[in-house]
Amino acid sequence: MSEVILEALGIEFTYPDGTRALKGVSLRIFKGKKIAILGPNGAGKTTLFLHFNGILRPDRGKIRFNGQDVSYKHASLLDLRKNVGLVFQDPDTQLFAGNVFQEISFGPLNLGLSKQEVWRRVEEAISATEIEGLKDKPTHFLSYGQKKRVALAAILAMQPRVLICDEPTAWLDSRQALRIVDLFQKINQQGVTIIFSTHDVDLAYSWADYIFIMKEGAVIGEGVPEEIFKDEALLKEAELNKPWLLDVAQFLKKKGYLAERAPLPKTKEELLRSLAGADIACSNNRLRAVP
Amino acid sequence: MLKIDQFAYTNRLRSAHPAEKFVFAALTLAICLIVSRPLISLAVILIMAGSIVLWAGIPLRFYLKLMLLPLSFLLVGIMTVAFSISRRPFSFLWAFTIGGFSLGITPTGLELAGNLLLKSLGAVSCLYFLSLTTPVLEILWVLKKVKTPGLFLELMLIVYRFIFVLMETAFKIYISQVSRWGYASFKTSYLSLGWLAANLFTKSYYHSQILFNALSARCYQGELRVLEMPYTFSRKNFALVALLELALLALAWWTGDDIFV
Repeated sequence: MSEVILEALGIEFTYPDGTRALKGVSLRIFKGKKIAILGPNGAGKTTLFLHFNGILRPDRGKIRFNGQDVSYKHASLLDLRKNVGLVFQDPDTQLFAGNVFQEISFGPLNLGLSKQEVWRRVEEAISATEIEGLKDKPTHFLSYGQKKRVALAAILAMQPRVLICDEPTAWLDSRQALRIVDLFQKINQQGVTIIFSTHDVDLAYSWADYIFIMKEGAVIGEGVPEEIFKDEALLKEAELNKPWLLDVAQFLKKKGYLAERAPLPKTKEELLRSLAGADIACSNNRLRAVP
Repeated sequence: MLKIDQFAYTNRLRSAHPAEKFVFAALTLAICLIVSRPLISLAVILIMAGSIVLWAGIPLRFYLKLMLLPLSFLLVGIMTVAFSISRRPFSFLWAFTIGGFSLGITPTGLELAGNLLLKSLGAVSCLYFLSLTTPVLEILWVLKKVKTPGLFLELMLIVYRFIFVLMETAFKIYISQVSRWGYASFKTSYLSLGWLAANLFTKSYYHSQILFNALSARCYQGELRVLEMPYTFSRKNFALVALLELALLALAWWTGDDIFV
């Protein structure tokens, strides 16, 4: 059992306009995991993220990072924001500097690092997100996908231990989305815990280690992807579709193309591989059947 | 505005040290403003036009269009200088008289107006040189080096950045209005424009709050610090700038001793 890095304990939050965005949310994020948070619009995902980063302070309940309560004093907040990086959904709200290089340098400079160190981290984040060509470009010349990468690089340069992304693949074309997912994979392999919200059930199913489902300001379900997506009632309540892989695999099992006890495929490749295996199994059966 | 910004990033002098361009523009501007001679103003206009078109590679047509912008304001402005009212009509080149008062143009008024016109165009061309060759960020960098207060610079930066966000937002609202017949008649245009302005305000307010959140999320503590880009000085450019300025001064000296008017 790995240790809990980030924890929400009974978070309740109401916006000044009276919207009850969170109604007692409790969840634990384990270190080094890939977490997906699913749920319809208005479920409170973004509000929860703003709590994880200390931007919002809960009316009731508390946030705990690395086993310690966030006290909302200056030093404790800075420590939280240094360790928990938050990438906003709309990059235009996050980017303020004139050019890409300077934009990325803002976060690490705030951490009080030396100029050489900041320089090194900026270069590192730029090469990790593959935006070398954009370095000197003013941010308003960039396309949406490019802005999204720059916003991510700006957080990566702070080297957070937990990376939170609000709908990282929203509005991206499928190739761009795939690049972001690949990048997440690399970051995660370096030991960074990743939390992201998404409407893409296929992505969540294939990629996440653990899934939380939110609705109307509460967590209504959690578990590993295989379990979560088996729960038809839960999916219906959360207005979520079933990942196509699961649908297809269950169909194939019913029809006998896949062994009933075979593990559910997590990616298209896995499914194809087990189908190729099934093919061989089928032909063996046929061979046996012929005489 | 947008075009100027684009040229600032793509002109041939882009890689030159911002301080070189800044010093060139500022010194020439100072000479143009201090030395009141039509010849000097004319020289400044020509030098700047040459630098902008030949050196920086800005298309001549675009530059001429830019120069026409202040011209219309200027022409209205210098009218009031050129015309004067007097009870004695004999000093006018051309005048008409109503009830003992004459309104007309005097030779001195005309000279003053001409001087003013050339001087203003000269000054404007210096500023155009700076804004066409130097991105706002680099101008800010120079201003920082000469110890301009940080708050002022940060405001300039944010304003600059959000001009683009605001324009994009305005454009999106406009498109969504047009696509629903928002500007089909005079009345609807009037209403739509009102809505656009009002929404733009609330949206920018909302935007500013989110920006503050996003900055706070990156440990913002009241100061927008970013890494400065390394620039390399070119001695050749500095020598060239010095030479040009000296030539201007020499020209001023040579054409008369009453340099300062």
